Amino acid sequence: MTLLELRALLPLLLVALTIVVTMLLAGFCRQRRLLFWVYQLGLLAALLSLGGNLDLQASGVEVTPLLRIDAFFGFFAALFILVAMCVGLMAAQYFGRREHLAVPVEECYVLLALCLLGALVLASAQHLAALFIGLELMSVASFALVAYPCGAAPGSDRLQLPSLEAGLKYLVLSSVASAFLLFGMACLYLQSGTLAFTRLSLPVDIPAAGLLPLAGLALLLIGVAFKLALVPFHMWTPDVYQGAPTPFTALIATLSKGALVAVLLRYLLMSDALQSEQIAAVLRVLAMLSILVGNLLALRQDDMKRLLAYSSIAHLGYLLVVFLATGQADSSEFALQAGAFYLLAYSLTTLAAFAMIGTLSGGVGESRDYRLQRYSGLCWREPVLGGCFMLILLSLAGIPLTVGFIGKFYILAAGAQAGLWWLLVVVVLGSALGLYYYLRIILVLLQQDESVRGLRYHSGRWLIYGLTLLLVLLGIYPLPVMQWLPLF
Amino acid sequence: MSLVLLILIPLLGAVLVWLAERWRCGLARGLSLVVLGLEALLLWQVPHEAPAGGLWWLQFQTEWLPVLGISWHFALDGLSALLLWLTLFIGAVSVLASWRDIDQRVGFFYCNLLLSVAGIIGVFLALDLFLFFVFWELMLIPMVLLIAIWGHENRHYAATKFFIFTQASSLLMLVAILGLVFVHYGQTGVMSFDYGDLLRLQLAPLPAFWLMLGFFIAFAVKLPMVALHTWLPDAHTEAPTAGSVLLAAILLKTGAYGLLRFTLPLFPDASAEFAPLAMGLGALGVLYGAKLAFAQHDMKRLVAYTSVSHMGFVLLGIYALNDLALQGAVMQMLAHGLSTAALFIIVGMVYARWHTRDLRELGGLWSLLPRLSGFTLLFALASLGLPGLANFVAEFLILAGAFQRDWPITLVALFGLVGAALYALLLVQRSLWGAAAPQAKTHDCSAREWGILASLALLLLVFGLHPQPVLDMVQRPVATILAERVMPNTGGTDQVVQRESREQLP
Repeated sequence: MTLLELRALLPLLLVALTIVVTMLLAGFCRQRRLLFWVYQLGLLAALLSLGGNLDLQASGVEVTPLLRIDAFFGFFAALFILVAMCVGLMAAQYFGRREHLAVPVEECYVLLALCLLGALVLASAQHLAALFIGLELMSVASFALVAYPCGAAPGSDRLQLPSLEAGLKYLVLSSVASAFLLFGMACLYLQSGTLAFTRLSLPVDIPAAGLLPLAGLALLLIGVAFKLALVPFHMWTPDVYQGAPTPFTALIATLSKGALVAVLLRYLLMSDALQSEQIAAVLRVLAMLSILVGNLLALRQDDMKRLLAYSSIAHLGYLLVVFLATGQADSSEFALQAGAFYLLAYSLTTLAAFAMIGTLSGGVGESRDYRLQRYSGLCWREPVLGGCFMLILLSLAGIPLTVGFIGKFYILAAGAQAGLWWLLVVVVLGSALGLYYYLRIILVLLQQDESVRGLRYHSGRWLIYGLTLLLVLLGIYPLPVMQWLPLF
Repeated sequence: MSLVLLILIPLLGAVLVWLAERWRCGLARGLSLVVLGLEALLLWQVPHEAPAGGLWWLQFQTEWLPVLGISWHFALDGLSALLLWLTLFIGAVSVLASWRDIDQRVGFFYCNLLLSVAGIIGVFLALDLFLFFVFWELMLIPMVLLIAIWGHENRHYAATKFFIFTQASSLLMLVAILGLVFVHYGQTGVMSFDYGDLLRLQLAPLPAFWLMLGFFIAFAVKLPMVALHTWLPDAHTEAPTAGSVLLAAILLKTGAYGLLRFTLPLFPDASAEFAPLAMGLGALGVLYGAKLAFAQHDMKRLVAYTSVSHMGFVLLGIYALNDLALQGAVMQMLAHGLSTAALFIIVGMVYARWHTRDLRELGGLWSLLPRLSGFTLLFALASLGLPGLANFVAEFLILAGAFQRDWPITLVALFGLVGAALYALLLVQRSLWGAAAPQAKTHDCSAREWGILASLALLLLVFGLHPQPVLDMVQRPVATILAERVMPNTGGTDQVVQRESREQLP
């Protein structure tokens, strides 16, 4: 391994170092504040090293056949590191409120950093082995995070049950998905004798080559669809979202899904999987189903977290439009940019939404009440917080002057350029459904309700204000991000 | 620069108004009027004619997102100026009309009102399609809040319905805009959302038809065209008086404006082909709106359905595609704005005194409130198209123009006038005549109310007796819109030259 390769790999190495240091500290010097700062500084260093690597990213460096450090990696890695930093902050505030409950907070930073490392590996993977390593690294850490203890009083573990249940569900279903993934890889390997993305081409003449490669690709897609929670592989999402501690729900919703989106984008761009009409058809059906079913199921949800779970299914469905658009030579470049921007917009908005829920629904050990009624009249009790909530919801709905609109605009533009008109009609239909439940929450926020009183909202305001401000700024002037979007 | 200020002033004013109310009670109302007054002054000092040979009185353009070819491009011509004047006047009227009605969260109310006005002004000025879309969506949010917070009993239902109808249809328009932009990209290799660039586009008939339909549906929902109108009665009925006034008098006009500014010039051939169907739907709207208005017991709902009927005339006029009818359509936009605003304000005044809008419970107003009743009679007559008032001029022009184009459809629409007479007289008979409703304590118009209604009536009368200034103002824009269509579609060169000649910047 040359020095150049080591330098290219520096962000990953720094995150790995953070993992080791936080783990040792968690073992020997249990101070949550110290761990928090070590975690944040380690990630900041990784972010800076990413900035220092811009020249390498521009030319693209292959580090072993497994990883590729290029502009694509640079964009997604920066996004993932920022997301992980935000989640770290949310976790610190979430657990900080109830120090007396003696929740072991320290380990969560180790797990968060592990998740991030997995995501970074996925963002740079150009080989199915790297894909699997990154995926498992991320998944195993997130099982533990979903089931993270959040402070039951001694002797009673009632409050612990939902997150344990969610963790178990996530574990079992994720393992099944991984099995599918592995089997798919085996099939592909059997056919082509390689696991590198570029050489996993489908044979031109499918009937002659047999169904093996196609079946392999289909199994691979099923595995990924499970992790991305696309309909009909979405069943785990609402329960896991609801049961997990709020900061880690945010992690599952943004980082885990984002990393898979990144690796799938790279895979589709490097191989010619989309040349196969069957695969494109499967993706099209997955997209339509996710958009429609996700939005339809969200309509009648009364639980804020379940609602967001279903809406995230729909958002991932919108993203599939971009995947399909990468299949055409003249629109693939723009489609990649559209996907990158949408992922950024989605991550930012979702993080803000979960930061809001985390702040509004009390801390560790308090009741896990995410029902909509809790928020009724928020706009009058807490005008600034309520205003932020409204902006976040408008961004999720994709209304102009929020980053969500620019994201949706990119999706529609990519679809229009690739001529996917029917899919766009479904996107419009899904968005119309989406408006209903986002507006419903806004109307709840605006209710003149005196019954909900005396709720004190805890720390975490500044994170919300910051994220909301960013969300509006990028909605009005997204040019800096647009110029930063990767070209492949 | 004054064009940017025209949008910025109400935006900043909205924030200021909100803060002012926290500082001192009652300040918000006066301040909103001051903001609108400033706007009017600004609009007044803009040169009211185009430099020789040009269409635009004033233009402003600067980069926004050059990567995608999006710019801040505003321009003002006779049509937008006329609608801006209407917007400012109606804005002031709705501030005055809600002077006493609104007693909760006053600052936020006027903030939303001004934001909505700012969005509407943006719609009338924007010449970049992306920018236009942004304003198109932005004017809705404050309006939805106005309905959802200060509306009547069923306000949440109405606000949701209004929001979903308009947003979903406008997303279709966004898809159509993007389709147009990528056709342009395919032909020239340049991404551009600019109106001027997209006008030069040569479209094949089939894509032109589908893209035209995307625009048309968005504007037809807003207009509203019959079959896409079901949001209107709910939204208008449940909104507070000022909201209904804004909705009916200006927001509906943005749909007509969009058809005139975008659908017709961008897709001249597809529009011409589509015209018979659109005219038919317009005529149907005239009859259907009149019939439903006739069947209502709720006074406000009745007035709301008259909007469907009147805007049917606008659709008919626009798609008749000749000078006379288009000028009539613009006149109708103006006249309908004034007369319907007045009727909604009257309904609001009646409701404030009786706490009911049900025509079965009302009656005999004339003996109790002679002044208010006089105005009611006047505006009801305006609504049915009494000669001497602006509505008559408008309907006459539309029908005369449409008759040249397609007489059977015009004949059908003509029966709408009978329907108008029916519902207007029904309104008068049920509310004004008869035995007085048993309600002892009432007071006739206050000076403020009298002033609002009198100014609206005066304008209707002036435009009815002397419509020429308005017609002159829109003559050039209308001629340009038609020039796009009438021009023989032979060589592309003539067309481009013709189009560029009116693109000249001042």
